[in-house]
This record gives sequence, C-alpha cells and structure tokens, in this order.
Amino acid sequence: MTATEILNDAPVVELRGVTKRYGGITAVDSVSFTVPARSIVALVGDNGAGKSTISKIIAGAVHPDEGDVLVGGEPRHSIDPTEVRRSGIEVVYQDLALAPNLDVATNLFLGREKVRALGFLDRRAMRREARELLEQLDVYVPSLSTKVERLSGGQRQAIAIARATHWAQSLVVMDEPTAALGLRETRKVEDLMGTLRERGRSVLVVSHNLDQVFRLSDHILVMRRGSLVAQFDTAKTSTEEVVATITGVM
Amino acid sequence: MSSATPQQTPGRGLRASAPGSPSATAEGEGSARRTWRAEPPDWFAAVAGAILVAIVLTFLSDAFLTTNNLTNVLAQTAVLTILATGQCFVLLTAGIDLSVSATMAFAGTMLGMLTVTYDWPAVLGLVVTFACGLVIGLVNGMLIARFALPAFIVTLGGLLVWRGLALQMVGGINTTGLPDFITWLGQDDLLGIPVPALVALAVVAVSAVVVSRTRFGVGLRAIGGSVSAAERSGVPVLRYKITAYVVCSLLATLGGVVLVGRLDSAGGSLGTGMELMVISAAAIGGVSLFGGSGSPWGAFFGAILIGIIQNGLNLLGTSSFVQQIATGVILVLAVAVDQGRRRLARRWA
Repeated sequence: MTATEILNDAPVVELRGVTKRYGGITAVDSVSFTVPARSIVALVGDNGAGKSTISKIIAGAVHPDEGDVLVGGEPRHSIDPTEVRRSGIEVVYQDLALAPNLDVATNLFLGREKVRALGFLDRRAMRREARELLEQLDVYVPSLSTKVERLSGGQRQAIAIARATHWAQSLVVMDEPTAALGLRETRKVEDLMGTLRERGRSVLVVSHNLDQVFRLSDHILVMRRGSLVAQFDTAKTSTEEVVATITGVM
Repeated sequence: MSSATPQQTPGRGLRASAPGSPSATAEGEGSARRTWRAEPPDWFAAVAGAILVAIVLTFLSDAFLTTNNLTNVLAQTAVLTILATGQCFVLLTAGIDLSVSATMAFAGTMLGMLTVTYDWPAVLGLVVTFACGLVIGLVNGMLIARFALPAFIVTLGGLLVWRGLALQMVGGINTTGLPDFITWLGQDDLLGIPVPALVALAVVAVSAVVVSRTRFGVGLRAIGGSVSAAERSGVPVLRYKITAYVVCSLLATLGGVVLVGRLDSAGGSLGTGMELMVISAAAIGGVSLFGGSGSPWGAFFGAILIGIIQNGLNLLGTSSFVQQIATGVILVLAVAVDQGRRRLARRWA
C-alpha cells in the first residue's frame, strides 16, 4: 500500500552552508551535512544550539538567510510547507499538528483526503487504508472513529508518526518525539522509527535523550551555539565523547 | 476477531505485541462496539428538547398537534433555519457572523427595490441580489481571513453598515407587491408542504452533506479544531475561511428572498435583532461557538425547537416578551445540557 521503496543511495537531504539569523543572533551558522538514505540521524545539542531551527528549515517553516537545502540532489527554493511535503518530506511537529476534534482516520488523511466522483470523500477507502497502516505499524487505538482528543499522549504521537510514515517518500523529521512520553510509549515510538528505516525512509530526529540516540541512530550530529561541531558514526563513538562535544569540553 | 487478542484497556496506550503478529489489529471490531463508540450526535439535546416541548404542548393545547399547525411551524422557522445553517459554516471555523440579519434585510430590500420600484424581471433582480450577497461574504471573509481582523468586529460593523444602507436605499419605507415567483417562494405550498419549508430543508440537507462528506467540510472542522494543524496539514485555510463567510452571506441572502416573499414586503427593518436568534438556534443545536463541531442538522433542530416554543406560547396566548425569555432560558439550558453530555461521554470513553 505504501509508495515505492527508495533504492538509490543519494542523500535524501543535504544542507550546504546554511545560516539563519534572528536579529543580531545567529541561530544557525554555516551548517553543512547530509542525511543519507535509509538511516536514522540524530541531532543533539544543548538548549539553544540551533537544533529546532535546523529541523524547521528542512520542514520549510523557516527560510535560511544563506546557503542551500538540497532535496534528492536538487536545490530547493520554496519555503512553502506544502511544497516540502510534496517533495517527500514529512514532519512530526512537537505539538503533532493533529486536529483534536477530528477522528483518527480523518487526521491520517487531513489535507490529502481521497475523493470519489463529484468531490465526495471516499471514506471507505480511507478507513481501509488507515486500518491497514495502523495494523502494519502495530499501533493500537480504540477505534478509527475515536477523536484524537480522547487518545493518550503516546497514542497521539503514534498517530502523528503513522501519518508521516504513510506520506513520507524520503525523510521524516521529528522534533523531540518522545519528550512527553512514558517508558513503554517511548519504546513504541522508537520501534516506529526503526520501521521507517526498514521501509527505506530516513529519519532526522532532534533528541535530548542520549540513551535513545545511541539505541536508535546511525549517525549523530552535534550542534553547539548554532554551529555543527561534530559528526559521528554512532557505532564508532561513545556517550562520553558525544557529551564532551555537546558541552564543549573537547 | 478480538476475543483472542490480549488487549489492553482502551485508552491506555499502545499495544505491546510484536510487529507483524497475526493478532495485531488496528481496530478490534468487537471491542470497538463495546467501548462508547457512537457518541450521540451534536444535535441530540435539541431534538430531545423539541420532543419534550411538543409533548407538553400537546397536552396544553388542542391546536398544537395538527398538520396545519405543524406545517405552519415549519414555514415560520424556514428563514431562521436557512440563516442558522449559513451561520453553522462560519461557526465551524471558530468564526462568527453577526451581520446575517442585516445582510438578509439588505438583500430583501435590494430585491424589492429592483423588482418593484424599478420593475425589473424577478430573475434579473435575484441575480443582482445574490451577487450583492456574494460581495458581502467576500468582504467579510477577506477582512477576517486575509487581514486577520476579528470576526466579531468585522461583522458587527457589517451589521450596522448593511442595515443602514438598506434603510437609506428606500428611505425607511417598505416596498410591497413583489413578483409572483418571490411570493410563491415565501407563501405557497408544494404537495401540501410550504415552499419556504422545502427550501429550508433542501438547504439543510445539501449543507449537511457538504459539511460531512467533502474535503471542504473536513477542512472547516479542522480549522475550527486547530488552525495551525490544519495549515501544516495542507488544508487551504485562507480559501476555506473566505468560502465559509461567502456561504453564510449567500444563505442570508436566500433567507432575505424567502422572507420578503413571505411578507410581500421589503425594507431595511426586516428581521431586526434576528442575528442573536440565529446564533442561538445554532448553539441550541449543538454547533460549538468555539469551532470544530456541529452540523447543519443541529442548526435545523435548534431553529425548530425555538419555533415550537414560540408557536406554543402563541397558542397559549402568552406575550412575545415571554417568548424572548423562554428562548434565552432554552439557549443556556441547551448549552449546559450539551456540556454535561460531553463530560459524561468523556468519562465513559
């Protein structure tokens, strides 16, 4: 049911010398990195290091003052979030961007509803697809007709990630996806990230939780005061080394 | 299918079974039925209230439960229903349109002036009248959605402007002797049912389908639930908001056409103060004033409940002041019942 697997190994997103200033403050200072295909990349750093700004720039919500964002090898000029979605990138926002008053199935298709002749919603097809999606991802909700406001925090997070998984062609950006979750729900979200990678998508995850970063990620990007200060292969580094880089001891 | 599945309590997080296990179902049909799946519709309180009031009135007055009287209620509430349905579109987006009755009066006056004073054919008069309604809706929608002015202020201004303009156009004097087609719309019967009631029912039915079965309807509800979520999900928020105000103004225009047909009189004082009744009807019918929930059927049942109460109090010979008091009490009561129902539903879920 999901779209074609991405088979070429070109980086899904590349940043080249991206700079963003807010007034006199340089939030992001000439940052360059690539997110390879089929990988989980963690973006770590202290508060105010520029992680969220980076994720917003990739999401198309913020436009960089300098530098280029390349998607699938092509420079991107648009800052319209709709265009970004069309280019195969999905974002799981910290506030999840779900409509609390609408049910699970409706939220999964919000803004991208399937329609039949005369513009009527094809609710049956959408519900079928939604059920398949949640089954595949092993996400449990009481019913597809349950309003999102009735779900637990973890269930909401799972729905937001399921939506991103369904529509993303290349990359899912997640900003602190487990910050508000309990242990079990955090595990579930981590499983979902692994599922995404298995499906040939990449994940760029902003996280404060280094245990999680080491459990999940393939690469770690460390930011400090707006600059990218280090890039590690997760397998070849240690918590001590990453912590030292974050705090600037090394 | 769910009986063999070790399920957690609904509402208690994600199931921990292994991915791809055969027992993994996103929605256990059996268990879903056991949980409180089907919430009562938003307009539940209004229907219950209407039935209750109807039963009481049946005992209090012999004249109430007659075909003649009930079709009369339908005809009398037609204009209120049409306006409340339009209001529903705007309320869904968490907006409000206080200018509906002024728009209605302006449209009615315009139609009267064109077809009576200037002796235009009815069709041409209707086209120009509806074009005016369209422009009013566009002005409201642009000011509110594009320039982010508060809906309350924009439409409060509109209330003064359009009614003032209507009074100014005809110098405060009503025109009468409207074309046959217009009076047919307002006064005649078709298959034993008043034409205005049929028009109102058609408006409600079509609107209900639009709200529940189209991308536009979903978008309106999403905007009312969370504008930022709607925006980031790709809902064309600006276009949908403007369209909601246009639909509201066009239905107010239709209400004006039906009303002048019914009265065979058009002028700037038509339906003065009716905007509050319109918003009350929608709220009584479970359309949330905070956006995101409600349906045109709610607007319909809310209008019917108001209509039955007014009719009953008329039959019992009560003054119109008492009717106003009763409507006010019902409004607060209906919203209170609705809140209580939601709280109960949440507790049981």
